[in-house]
Amino acid sequence: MRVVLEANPEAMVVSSCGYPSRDLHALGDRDTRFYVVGSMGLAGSITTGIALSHPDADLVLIEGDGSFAMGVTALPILASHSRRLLHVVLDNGLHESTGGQRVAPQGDLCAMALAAGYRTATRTADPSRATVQVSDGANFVVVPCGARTGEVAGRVEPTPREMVERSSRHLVRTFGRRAVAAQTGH
Amino acid sequence: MTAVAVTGNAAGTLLAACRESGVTRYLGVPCSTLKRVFTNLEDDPAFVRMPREDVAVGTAGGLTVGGEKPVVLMQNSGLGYCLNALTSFVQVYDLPLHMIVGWRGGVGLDAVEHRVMGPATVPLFQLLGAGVSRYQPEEEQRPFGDFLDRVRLNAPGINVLLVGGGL
Repeated sequence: MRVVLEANPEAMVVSSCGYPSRDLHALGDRDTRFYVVGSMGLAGSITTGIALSHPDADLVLIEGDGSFAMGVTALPILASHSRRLLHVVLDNGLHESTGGQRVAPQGDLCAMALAAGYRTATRTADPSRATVQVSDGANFVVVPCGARTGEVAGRVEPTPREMVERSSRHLVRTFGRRAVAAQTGH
Repeated sequence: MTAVAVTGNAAGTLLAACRESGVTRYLGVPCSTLKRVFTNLEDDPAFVRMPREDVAVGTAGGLTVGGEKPVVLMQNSGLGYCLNALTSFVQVYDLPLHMIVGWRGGVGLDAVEHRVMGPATVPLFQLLGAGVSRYQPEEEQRPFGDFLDRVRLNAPGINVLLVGGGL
């Protein structure tokens, strides 16, 4: 996670519920962090909305493999509507935040991403040797990892409302309010 | 209080009023009750096709974080899919969410698959504390109830326009 953040210091980062959000928060909270504290499986949909509203923004989505499996319905639209996305799946094969239960069979994650329309898909145990910088289109990286050995990070501190306000402020200030051609009403 | 004169094409009138109320984007899963609304949106760049209703709600939330004002279009049969997205995301994050919902199984006979969700739709929305308006064409000045006023206000919470019988 640290390698991905260091490669994308300006990016807006969305994280799925449970430990991924707590770990991301522990690595340094800032306005460009949007932790999805509940609603498992929805992080990809939320990222799709941010990508639609600010196509020029560099986006990083970090989620666990359990969250990815739950939100896979959104994968093709996320791929289709993202111009600058790095989608990272931390694959430990476990629902670790709920006690380490094994996840349901989920197939070949990289093949699914490519079939859904991602430009690239990479599986690497060593992100420091892979391309983890946001680039054009939707790009997918799976990082196989083991079960947690260290301590669990603390809960996310900013309230959900604070996260909305600060992320919104950051996006609109940096990229402007996009004028959408709403042509309807004929 | 906003008066909206409906002139034949109620779907077009509703969409024009949404646009005037600041709506920037429509996210939808089709419903036959809302067929004319979807027909109006078919070639509109502000319309984004969605695979499932919870994905539409999540994407709407992301758009709101990005500074836009989206409307979700769906059938009430998709409300079950949405419940987690509405409660754990929209309401926990204090977001506004505007929904135009085709209401199957609400009044009179309808297909068997709408037998349970039809009558449960309004109580479910009320349990969530949503503002619920019903499309009433006979109310010539305010056929969409409070829906458009709430779109304009864009306060946190769920704002629903229920459309039974088509428009």
